[in-house]
Amino acid sequence: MEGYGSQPPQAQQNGLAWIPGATTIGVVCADGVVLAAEKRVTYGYFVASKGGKKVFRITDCIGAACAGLVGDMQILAKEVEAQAELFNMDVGRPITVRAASKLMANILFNRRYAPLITQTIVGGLDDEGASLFVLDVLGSLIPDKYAAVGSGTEIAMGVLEEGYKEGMSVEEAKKLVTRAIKSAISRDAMSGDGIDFLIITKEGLAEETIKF
Amino acid sequence: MSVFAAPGAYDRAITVFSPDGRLFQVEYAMELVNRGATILGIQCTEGVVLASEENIEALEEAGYSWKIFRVDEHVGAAIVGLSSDARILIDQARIYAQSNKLTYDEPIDIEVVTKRICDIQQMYTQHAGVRPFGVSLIFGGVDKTGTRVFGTHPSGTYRGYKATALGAGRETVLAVLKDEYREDLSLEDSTKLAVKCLVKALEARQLPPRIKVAVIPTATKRLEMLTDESIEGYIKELGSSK
Repeated sequence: MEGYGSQPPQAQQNGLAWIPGATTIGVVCADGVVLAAEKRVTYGYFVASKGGKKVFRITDCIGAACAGLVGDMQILAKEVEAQAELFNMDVGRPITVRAASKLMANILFNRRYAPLITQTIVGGLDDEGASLFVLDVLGSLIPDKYAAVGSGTEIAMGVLEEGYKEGMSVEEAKKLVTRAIKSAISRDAMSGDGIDFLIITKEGLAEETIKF
Repeated sequence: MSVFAAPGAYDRAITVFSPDGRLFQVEYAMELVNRGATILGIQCTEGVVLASEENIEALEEAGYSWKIFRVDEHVGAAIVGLSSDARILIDQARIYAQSNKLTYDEPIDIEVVTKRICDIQQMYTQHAGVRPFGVSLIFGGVDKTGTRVFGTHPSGTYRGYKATALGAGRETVLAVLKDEYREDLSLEDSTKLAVKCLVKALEARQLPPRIKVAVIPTATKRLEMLTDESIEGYIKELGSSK
């Protein structure tokens, strides 16, 4: 096992760099945002966990859903959560979805030579309504209405593309997202074991889980 | 001075408390500000007005202001006191405004830029080997939270106002504002009120009218300096309505 000690085990197998797969989706609805990710964590050909959590609370009205190295996404989400809380106390109002996303993009961009290996969907509700941003490893920031990241993207996107409608209700979006992730799970070996939802509406942030 | 310890031992190089708990250097800075040419800020739903008394020198370039500055598109600041000290704070305010855009992708809140400048002003009341900034500022602008006006002091404190004034003519101006300010004033009427306040403040000290005005309308969220001609118009209108 050459180089085993010098690189994290999850990033390497048989001399190849492995990045855990995922199917992670975000959808903007009429009355909120639905973020979702399946629960499988893989180290190469090994299913390391069936209970990984890839959705994160940033504030009471902003969440993030990730694909990539689980450690990196946890560090990133915690950092933005802390900064968002400081913003709230300093500025005297909750941070907007755009500002929180930009903050995260800056962290990723500043680390572009030692990147956090994670693609992220940030979504939430603010004075301007529901919105969603997609971020890549190097800190690009792209607004969108619906998005998918991770190894199951192509399969999930097929379902989303066909099923997404402007002004969907949260319940409709949840059904669509479930269908898209289930579809990805059935053909992507690196996705599976259940779905975590992060649903953001005027009532606040709600977490739900389906286990397979 | 009989009640309190005499200044002398407590107002030299380092800002230290006197035995009766005063910071003389800071008080002297406030005194400087209180003697400066008057500035004022007024907010209404349609926007914010910043205005200042300015002595215009012979052959001075038209439209030049050394008391009202643009901090960002949507933020202005009026200064009273040492204008050289103020320049340093204005430069910092401009940097904070741009840095906020880079960090959060949105324009800085008026209160945030005010707070950052007050952090600097406070630092200069506590560190050794420095003197306080001999300047007060009125920050005004339009942000996410609406129209805002804040006044700062050399001590580093700040407050939010519907309308406020600083400098030599502040008492005259505040008396007029207390009387005539209403929240439903239009931007045009707020501008007229600002001009009226400063004309009165200057009259009270037997000085000729010389005023600069900037407005930040809610509709555009962009600071614009009024031309000397349009201010002249407001002053004339005031004279004829008397």
